Amino acid sequence: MVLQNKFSLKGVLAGYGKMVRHGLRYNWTLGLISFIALFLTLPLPLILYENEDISRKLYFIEDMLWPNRTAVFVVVCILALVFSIVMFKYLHSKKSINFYHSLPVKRASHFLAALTVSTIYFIASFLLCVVLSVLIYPDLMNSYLYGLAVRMFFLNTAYFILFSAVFSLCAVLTGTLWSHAIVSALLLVIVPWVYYLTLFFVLSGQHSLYWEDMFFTKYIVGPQSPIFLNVTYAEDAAYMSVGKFAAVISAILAAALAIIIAAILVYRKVRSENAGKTILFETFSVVYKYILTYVIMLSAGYLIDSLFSENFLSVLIFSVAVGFLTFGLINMIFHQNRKKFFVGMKRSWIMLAVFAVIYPLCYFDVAGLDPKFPDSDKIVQIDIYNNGDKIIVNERESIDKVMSNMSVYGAHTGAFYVGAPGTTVSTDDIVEKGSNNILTRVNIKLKNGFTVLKAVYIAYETEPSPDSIPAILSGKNVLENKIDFLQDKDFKKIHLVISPVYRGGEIDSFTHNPNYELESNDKIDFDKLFDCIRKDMELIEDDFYTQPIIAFLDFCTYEDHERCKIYVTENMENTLNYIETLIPGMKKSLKEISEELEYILIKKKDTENQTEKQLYVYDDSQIEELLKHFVYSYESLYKKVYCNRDYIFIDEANLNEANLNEANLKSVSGYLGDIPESIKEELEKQPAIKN
Amino acid sequence: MIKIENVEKYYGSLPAVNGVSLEIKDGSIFGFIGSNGSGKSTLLRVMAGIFKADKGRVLIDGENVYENTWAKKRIFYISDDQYMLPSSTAADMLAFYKVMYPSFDKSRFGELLKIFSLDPRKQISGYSKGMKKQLDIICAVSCRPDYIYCDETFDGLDPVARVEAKKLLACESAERGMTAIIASHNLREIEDICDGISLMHKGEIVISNDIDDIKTELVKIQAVFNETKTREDFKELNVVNFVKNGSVYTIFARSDSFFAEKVISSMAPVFYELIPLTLEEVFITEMEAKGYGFAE
Repeated sequence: MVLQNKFSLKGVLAGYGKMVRHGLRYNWTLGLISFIALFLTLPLPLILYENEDISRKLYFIEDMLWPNRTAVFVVVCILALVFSIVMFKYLHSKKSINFYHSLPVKRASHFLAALTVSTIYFIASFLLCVVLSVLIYPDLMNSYLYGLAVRMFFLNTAYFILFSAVFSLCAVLTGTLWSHAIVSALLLVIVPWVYYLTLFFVLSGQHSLYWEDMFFTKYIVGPQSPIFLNVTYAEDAAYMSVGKFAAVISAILAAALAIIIAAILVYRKVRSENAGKTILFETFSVVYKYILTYVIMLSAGYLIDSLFSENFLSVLIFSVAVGFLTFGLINMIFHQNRKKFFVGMKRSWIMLAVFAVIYPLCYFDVAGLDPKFPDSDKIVQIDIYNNGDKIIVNERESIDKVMSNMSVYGAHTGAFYVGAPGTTVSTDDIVEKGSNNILTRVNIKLKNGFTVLKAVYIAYETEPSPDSIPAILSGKNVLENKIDFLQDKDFKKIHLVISPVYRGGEIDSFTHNPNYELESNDKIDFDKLFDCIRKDMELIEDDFYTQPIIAFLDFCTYEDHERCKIYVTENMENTLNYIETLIPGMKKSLKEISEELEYILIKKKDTENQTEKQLYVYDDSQIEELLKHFVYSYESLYKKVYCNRDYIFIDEANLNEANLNEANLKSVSGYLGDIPESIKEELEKQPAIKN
Repeated sequence: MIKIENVEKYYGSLPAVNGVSLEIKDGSIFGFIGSNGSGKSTLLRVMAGIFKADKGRVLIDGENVYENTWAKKRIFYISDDQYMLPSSTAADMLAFYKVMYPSFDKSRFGELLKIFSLDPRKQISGYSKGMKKQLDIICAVSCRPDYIYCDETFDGLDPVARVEAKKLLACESAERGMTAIIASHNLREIEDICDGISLMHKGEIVISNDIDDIKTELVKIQAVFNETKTREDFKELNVVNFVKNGSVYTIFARSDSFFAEKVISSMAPVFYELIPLTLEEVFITEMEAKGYGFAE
């Protein structure tokens, strides 16, 4: 009886071990490369922060060990590509493929062994670098930071395996080292780029869409692009619960496994004799040719659209012409023959013709999609986003109210721009007001599962707080809505960040600088906190939006990763009193702070003559005066003052805080012009000391 | 035993091997000869399980070779395109093949390195082309496979090394019953070592038999006649090639030599002679009969 060459796990495993041993022995340089790259990304920057103060060190450690850190992610991606090129280069040479495929080892074993060797070297070097990073400042490490390190390790290892699987699939589809590298690199960009360009042309007639916000570059090629499976779920790996984190890792690994299985099946079909050809499979070669033409054609159109401000005819003619030439050139490159320019041209004409028909239909919005509002009864939910904040409207009455608010102005302008109540907004107004408008994004979820995204502008100068925009649109009390939303949640899984902010300043820039972090199992009593906020709301009512914001409470629920911010204004006495019990000093006035400070030392450096002037300010009223000036100019100072820091450093020539190394002294740099005149005069009188 | 069943292999639409069927007995030394591009190397790669046959199959003791580790453990393929592990020495190759082939004979490897005067610690990249070929043969023999496939292996070897290498294969065949299959276009290499050969042309096997039988299958007759003769006059002899040079006729015929002598002598020649054929002449005659040749 003739035994067939079917796939047998035993057969695969037998050769697999041998090939892994061989691979480990001959590719140790991969481990070295990986270690150097990761060392430069992880432990080295931490070592460089040695001279910083403890709070900055803590901040940097957290930053360095952040699971979704882009630098690590990029290194992981590049390493996966380099490893796959090295490990699968044997597939791209006739000599080596004959050698390896003549060995008593199954093709699946060859493939799996190559992947295993790269993964082993990556994991070993990554683990070493993570451990080294943790060991640099052992005294500063706590369970939170250890947790970050562990999550970073698992998340990036899972990504490495996923990328390796994708790149190895590219390796078995291509026949040369260069085509492998190019196809792999393109695959990372091409999928999101095709998605972006297609949307760009299909929605070209819907001018009311806010493009920059919708299709920001990071969604195309960055870590948040669809190809990285990093869109929503893995984005906040640091915060999510262990179960959810495990689910995300499992999902990434499952995707990797599916790609690996597909790659093995393809590898078994690879014809060894085709090594050296650009693309190994005829069918894939044709598909690849059309996709490349499509992308280059649309990219050319996109470029012309940007250069000539939506000139319809230029875009159409240029795109089709470039598409035609591209197809011919690709033919010549693939066939390595100048005479093959016109191969398969008939089918390419169909593609160009489809574009030439569809683009005008989209551009002139023949279907009339642009000014169309969805019927209110087809909507299940409206999410209003503004400045990182979100309000969910899902009751029938409120949905009607939002749609009514939007449609009134939308009907007036013929688009979806909505003005503040009491104002009449025209398209011209919007153009004139330009950047003075605040954009609010409105996601309308329809019953059929579709989502419509609309942009709503409200004149900035008319509103004291961004929080009021969702209120205007929804007709709801936003604060109340938020508390209702939070009280529905399980508080055991809420992470609260309380950040003091300087009065009247931008709020958004503080979202990444948490000062006080509280877990729900800490001493905080959420019910009490919400009671205080409710009481304050009743007392202050409309006054809320006119008062300076003194802090904001940033709630983050682990469960479904909802974020919610509540601003605390100076007149919210109950809330501030409660926060004071959690974080003493929050409610302190500048007078109180200045009384606590022993002195403020002002240094003025003269870098040319290498001298400096020093002035110690002991007087409480002068300290208060100084703080007042700096509070309104430098948010970082204000934050530091809250943290009971000691002195101010003035260095007009060099504003780099990293230069300050004096032990136990806290410093902030600023401009000489911000010092009150009387103090400045006194400073100038001081003798210049040689540095 | 190796059994090749109706194997076809295409490069695009071009047939490289076209319906080849063959049986090769164990313990023999078998040669594939043929013109450049006749499909010898391709057939050998299909036999080694490197290429998958588009049609048909290659069996070793009843088992399909392709993706069959059991069958491939019994085969060692020496490629015409030499490949050695990067930055490796002969000692590294030993370590590699020892893992891949459980039957690897380390002491034999050492002995053979001494015989061929190769330094096990020297980087292979510093070896000459001939030395690399020698190392290939040493590795192959040391793996103690049941089947060795040599693709133009003796090309580039100096005469002494070539004789030594052939002796090595012959010994292995005689002592262990190893089967060696040699693909070459150098007829003299095949002639003195092979028991049987297959002549390939355009992916097909033209003739396949034991060497002695091949030589005796064809006869070469030189004869002088008073009167003019045509090819038709010799049709009884199954003429493969017919050359007339003045009154001298050279006839290559697929016929028994006794019968050929009888036919020629009955035609009253002035002179005739039956000349023994070299393998090269058989090759050229058969190829010319298939229309292979270069325009003058």
